[in-house]
Amino acid sequence: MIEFRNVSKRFGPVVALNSVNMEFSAGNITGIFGPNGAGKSTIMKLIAGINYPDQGNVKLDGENPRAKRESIAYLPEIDHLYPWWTLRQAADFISTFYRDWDCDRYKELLPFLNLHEQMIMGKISKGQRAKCKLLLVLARKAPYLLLDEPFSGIDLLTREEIADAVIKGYREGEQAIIISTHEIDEIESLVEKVVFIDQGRIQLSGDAEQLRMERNKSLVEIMKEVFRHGNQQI
Amino acid sequence: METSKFKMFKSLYLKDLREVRTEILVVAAVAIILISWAYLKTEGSARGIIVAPMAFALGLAGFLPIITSFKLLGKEWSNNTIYMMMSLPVSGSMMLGSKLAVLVTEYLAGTLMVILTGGIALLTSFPDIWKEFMSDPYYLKLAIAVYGASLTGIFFIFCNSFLSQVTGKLFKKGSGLISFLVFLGVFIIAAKLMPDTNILLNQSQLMVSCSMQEMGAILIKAAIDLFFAALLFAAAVVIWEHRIEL
Amino acid sequence: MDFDNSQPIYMQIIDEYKKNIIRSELKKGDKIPSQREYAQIVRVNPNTVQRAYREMENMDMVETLRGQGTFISAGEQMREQMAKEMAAKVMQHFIHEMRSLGYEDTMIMAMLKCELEPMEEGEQVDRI
Repeated sequence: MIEFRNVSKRFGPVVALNSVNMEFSAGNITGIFGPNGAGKSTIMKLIAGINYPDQGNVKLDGENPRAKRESIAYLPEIDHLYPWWTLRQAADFISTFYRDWDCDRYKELLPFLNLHEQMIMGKISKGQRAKCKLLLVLARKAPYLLLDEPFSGIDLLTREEIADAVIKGYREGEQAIIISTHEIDEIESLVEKVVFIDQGRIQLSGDAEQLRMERNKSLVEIMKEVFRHGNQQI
Repeated sequence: METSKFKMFKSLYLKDLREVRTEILVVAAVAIILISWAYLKTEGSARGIIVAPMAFALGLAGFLPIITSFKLLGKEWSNNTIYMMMSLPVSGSMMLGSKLAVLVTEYLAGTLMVILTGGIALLTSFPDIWKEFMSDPYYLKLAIAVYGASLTGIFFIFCNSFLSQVTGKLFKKGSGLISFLVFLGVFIIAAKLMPDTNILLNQSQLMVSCSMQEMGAILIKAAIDLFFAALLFAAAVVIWEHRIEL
Repeated sequence: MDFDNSQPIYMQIIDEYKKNIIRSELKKGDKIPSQREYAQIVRVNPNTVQRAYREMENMDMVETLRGQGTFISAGEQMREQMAKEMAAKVMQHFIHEMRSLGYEDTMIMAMLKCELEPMEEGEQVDRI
């Protein structure tokens, strides 16, 4: 379980998160939706333990995120793989550090995502790199999987491949997947829980099916509505 | 997948070792080319000139790793691979320790290469030196002490480089300048705390007028260097583990 | 399968199965994909599929046999029942929409007849 208690974070004059409270539990796929600069990446970084809250605290199973790095598979928005790495080298490197590395899963997802082990990270397309990044986190049986903007700047077909791989790789019941994106369309039917965030505050959160039932609207429509209202208040 | 601290360290070490291959080759090439050139162009006692290219190559072998120490860490940020490094489940001491090991490898490989090449050139030119050198074990001990002291000295510089860089990374703006100032500042402070820094710089003179006293001074010096290096390293680790944000 | 994202997805999954059964494309005893397979086929959260399957089990539409998979358990009686319910729903919706456009019932009847006539001459709609 991931808990945010009154978490605030600012970067210089910019308030990234403003007194945020939320929880993520195992066995769920949660979507964190919001426009660029809403604070989505900050939430991910706080969970990954590479940012620290100014106020409040973030706990993973009651512990400091940095103490739980072993149980987090984090896919950052930026390309974080060495450009000279082949996919094989990247996999070999990462597998040294995580006991939960699943070699069979890795080999299964490789053809599923149309990837080859000889691909060099610095020489492949953005879409292929995105899939490599995804493969490297999905090949782990990590209790917490963080996907920060996995679709940004990626063509439609590749987006579908990514969404398919997430479902294929998802370990029901044991894994908490958190996906942050400003492009809800791709994962509308993928997420079970949603958090709409804007200007560092949670504007709305809940169960995706419940929200559809109550509002007769898609998540995309709900997001537009929520953020329109949010902006009017300012 | 089985994991172990040793395997993790090895992975980190080998990954960074790749970054210093070129530097090691450059030092080796410079040493071999310059020393052979001096060797082939001279004859008899004039071959003493070999010491000059040797000293130059040694300087390079000592200087390049310092440059590398900045490159090795800085590149993680410029490549964004710092996101990978910071999220790995390893301690800051292992992370920075593996980089330190790579830098020490670079230093050892470079300097030993120069000493070996130069040594062979000198010995074939002046076979008598070797006899004299081996006649008194003190010379050998002193040589090892001086080399060891150079190692602790470079340790100190590497750790200072790490500390100044991670300190710089605490600031969004002007982190390069802050790193530079910290790097200089640490040297100034260390120099104030360590009044006899000149001894290290004058190692070459020690070779001429060696005495037991000087040997002792070198060892004390090395020990102090090592102590300071450890302090700087520990500070860098603390910052890495608790303060660095991305 | 494309979902209408403004409606709960698990209900759409159930409706899809109902339609299949109504059209007799799925019959009692037919095996349907496992929850995991189905989630991958339609690209939906596995928990959502699980919810739909659970509801279908509760309605006795399907049954899951341990180690063997999930099978259609709806018989002819249930098929007719579901057909009636779904048809009624569609009709109600249609009538509601037409009335909201201001059409009188007689007008609706006339229009419906007019729309359906060419179909009677051509291909017969044989089911339902």
